Amino acid sequence: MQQRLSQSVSHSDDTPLARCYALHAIPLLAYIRQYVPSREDAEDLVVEVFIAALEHKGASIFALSEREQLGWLRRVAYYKCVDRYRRLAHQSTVPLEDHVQNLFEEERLGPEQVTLRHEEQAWLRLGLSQLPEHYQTILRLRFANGLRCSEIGRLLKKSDGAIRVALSRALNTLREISRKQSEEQNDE
Amino acid sequence: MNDDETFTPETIEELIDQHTSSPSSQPTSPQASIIQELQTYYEADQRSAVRMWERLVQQTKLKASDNEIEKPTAGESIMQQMPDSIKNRNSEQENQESLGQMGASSTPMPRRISRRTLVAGLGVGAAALGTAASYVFLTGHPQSSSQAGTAATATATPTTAPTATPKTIAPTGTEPAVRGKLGDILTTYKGQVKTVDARWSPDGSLIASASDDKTVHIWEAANGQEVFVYAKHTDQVNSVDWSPDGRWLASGGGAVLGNVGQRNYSIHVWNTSTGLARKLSGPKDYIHPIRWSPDGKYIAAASNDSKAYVWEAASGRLVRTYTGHTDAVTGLSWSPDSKRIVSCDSRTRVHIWSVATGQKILQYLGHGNNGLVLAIDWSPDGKRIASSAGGAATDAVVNVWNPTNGETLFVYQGHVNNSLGTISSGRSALSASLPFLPAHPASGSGIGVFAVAWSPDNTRIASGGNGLLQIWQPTAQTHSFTFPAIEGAPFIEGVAWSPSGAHLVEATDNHTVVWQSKA
Repeated sequence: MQQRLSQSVSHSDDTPLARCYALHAIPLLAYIRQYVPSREDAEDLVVEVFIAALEHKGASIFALSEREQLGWLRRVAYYKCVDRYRRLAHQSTVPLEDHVQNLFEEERLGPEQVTLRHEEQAWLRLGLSQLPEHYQTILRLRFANGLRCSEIGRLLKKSDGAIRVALSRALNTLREISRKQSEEQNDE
Repeated sequence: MNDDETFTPETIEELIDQHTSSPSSQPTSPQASIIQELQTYYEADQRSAVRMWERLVQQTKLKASDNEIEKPTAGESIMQQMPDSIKNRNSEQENQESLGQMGASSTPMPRRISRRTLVAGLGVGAAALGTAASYVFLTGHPQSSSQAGTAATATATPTTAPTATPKTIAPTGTEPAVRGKLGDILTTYKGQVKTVDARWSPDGSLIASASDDKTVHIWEAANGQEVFVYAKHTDQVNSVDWSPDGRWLASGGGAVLGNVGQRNYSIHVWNTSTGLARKLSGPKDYIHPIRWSPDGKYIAAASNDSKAYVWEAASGRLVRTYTGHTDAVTGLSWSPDSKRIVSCDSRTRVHIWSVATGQKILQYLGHGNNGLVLAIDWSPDGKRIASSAGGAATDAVVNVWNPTNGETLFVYQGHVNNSLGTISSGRSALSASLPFLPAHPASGSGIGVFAVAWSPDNTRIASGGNGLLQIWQPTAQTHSFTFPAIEGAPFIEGVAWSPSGAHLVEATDNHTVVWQSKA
C-alpha cells in the first residue's frame, strides 16, 4: 500500500532508490529534525544517509522490507546525528560581532527570524508525531499532495466519509495541542 | 473547545479549500491558523524532498563518474539506481499497470471533456449557454466512456520500443532543420492518440503532448522518437507546458467522474531530469489550459470552475485566484512581460487582468453575446491579442484586437465555411478570397476555432478549426496557407509554433503532426 501511494503522489520513478526515497525521505527528515532542528542541516544528513544506503554492500538494503529499510535508515541517521554533534564539539566559535556587518542582509535570514520560524513549527512537529500513523498519512496526502478526500479514500480503500472523519479528528487533535500550548505560554 | 472551532466531517473539505486558496492572508480563526500552518509545514517538506533528491542524484552521478575510472561495474551499479526518467523509460508498462490498479480500474471511467465537446453540445441543441446546460450534455454523452477506454487500451501497448541507451530528457538539442517545402510533414507521432495539446521545448528539439489517455508523451521533433511517457495523472491531461528553461513541465487536466457528476482535476509540475513531481491545488474542477509565465516564475491555469489560478512555480504556492469570470474559463495567455493575463470564458467574455493585484484591467466584448471564446494568444510583441470563437450561434472566427483599448482590428473568417461535412474531402470550402472582414457582430455558422497561436516573429498566426490548420498574416491581412486535413482527425485541439517559427505542431484526435511552416 505504502509503495503504491508513493508511486502515485511523488518521487515517482520505479527504481529501488527512487522507491526507497519516496517511501522514507520525508519520515527520515522528520526523525532527524528531532535531533537537528535546522532544516538545512537535516537535509544534508538525509542525503548522506541515502548515499550510505547506496554504498552499503552493493545497495543491498533496497532488497529489505519497507519496515527493515526504515529501521536501517533510522539507525544510520542516528549515528550521523551523533557524528554531527561530535564535529560541532570540535569546531571553534567565532564572535558574531566580527562578521555582523556582512551577515543577514535580508532580515528574514537572520538568526532571530529563523529561530522564530523554527519555534512556530516545533509544536506542529510535536503534534504530528503524536498522531496515529494513518492520521499522519491522511494529512500528508491532503496537504502535501493536494488529494481530495475521495481520492485519498480510493487510495486507502476507505470511504469518503471515513476519510473526512479521520481528517476532522486529526485536525481537532492538533487544534487541542495548539490550544494547550498557548495556555502554557500564557501561564508562563 | 468551542463548537465553532471544531472541524466537522461535513465541512472539512470546504474549510480546507477556503483557507488554502488565499494563503497569503492572515488567518482569521483557529481553524484557519491550523490549516495554513499545516500547508506551510508540508510545503516546506516537499521542497526539502525535491532539494535532497536533486543533490542525491547529483552526488550519485559524481560518484558514478569517479568509479567508472577505477571500477566500471560499481559505477554502473549506482547508475542503475537512478530514476527511470534519467535512464529513459524501461518500465513504462509497469508504471501504467500500477496506475491502473490504483485508480482507473477501481473507479468509474472518467467521462471525456473537451472544448470541442462543449461546443458540439451547444451545437446539438443546448438552448442556453449557461453552465447548467453544458454540464447536462457533458455528463450524459453516450460515447464518452468508450472513447476514453479506447485511448487507455491504445497506450497500454506502446508502438515505440524503449530505447536501450539511457539519456536525459532535459532538452539540450536543437530544432530540426528546415527541409522540404511549406506544408510538408516533418514528423508524424502515432505513439499517442486523442492528443489535446502539444508544446515545443524551448530549444525546439522535443515536443511534449498531452492526451485524454492520462499521459504526457515527450518525443523528438525531428523523428518522432519517443523519449519519455509521464503516466502519473489520474485523469485525462488537457494541457501541458514547458518552463522557459526547459527543466520543468506543468501538465494538468481533469474529468467528471461517474454518474454523480463529481468533478476532478490534477495538476502536476515535474522535473524533466529527475521525474520528481509535485501537485498543485486550488481549482474545484478540471483545467484547460495551463501556461508557464514567460519569466518562468509563475504557472497559470484556467478552470471550468469559472476561475483562473496562478501559482508560484518554485514553491507551488497558489498566489492568485482570478474570480472575474462568471462561467467556465476556456483559455488564457500571458503578456510578454509576465505581469498580465488575458483569459476568456464560455460567455464570450475576455478579460485582461493584473497578476499582482487580481484586478480586471480591461474587458473585451468583440465576440458578441453568443457562443464561446475557445482559445486566446497574446502576440510575442505584446501589441495584439488573437482570440477565437465558436458555438452554435457564433461564427468560427478569430478576432485580432488591441490589448490597450479593446478595439477590434479585424476578424479572420477563414474557418467559417469549413464545416465538418467537408473535412473528409481534404482542403475544402476555404474562403480564401476574402477571409478578412471589418469588425462586425458574428452571425452564426461553423463550429469553432479551437486553437490559435502567434508565430514567434509576430508576422503570422496559425489557427485550427474543424480539421483544417491555416496560417495567415495579421499585418497584411492575407491568408497564407491551408494545411492538408489529417485523416480521421475532425478536430484540431492544439497548435504551437516552434521557437524559430519554421515548424508547427498540430495536436488532433488521431495523432500529432509536425509541419514545415516555412517555404
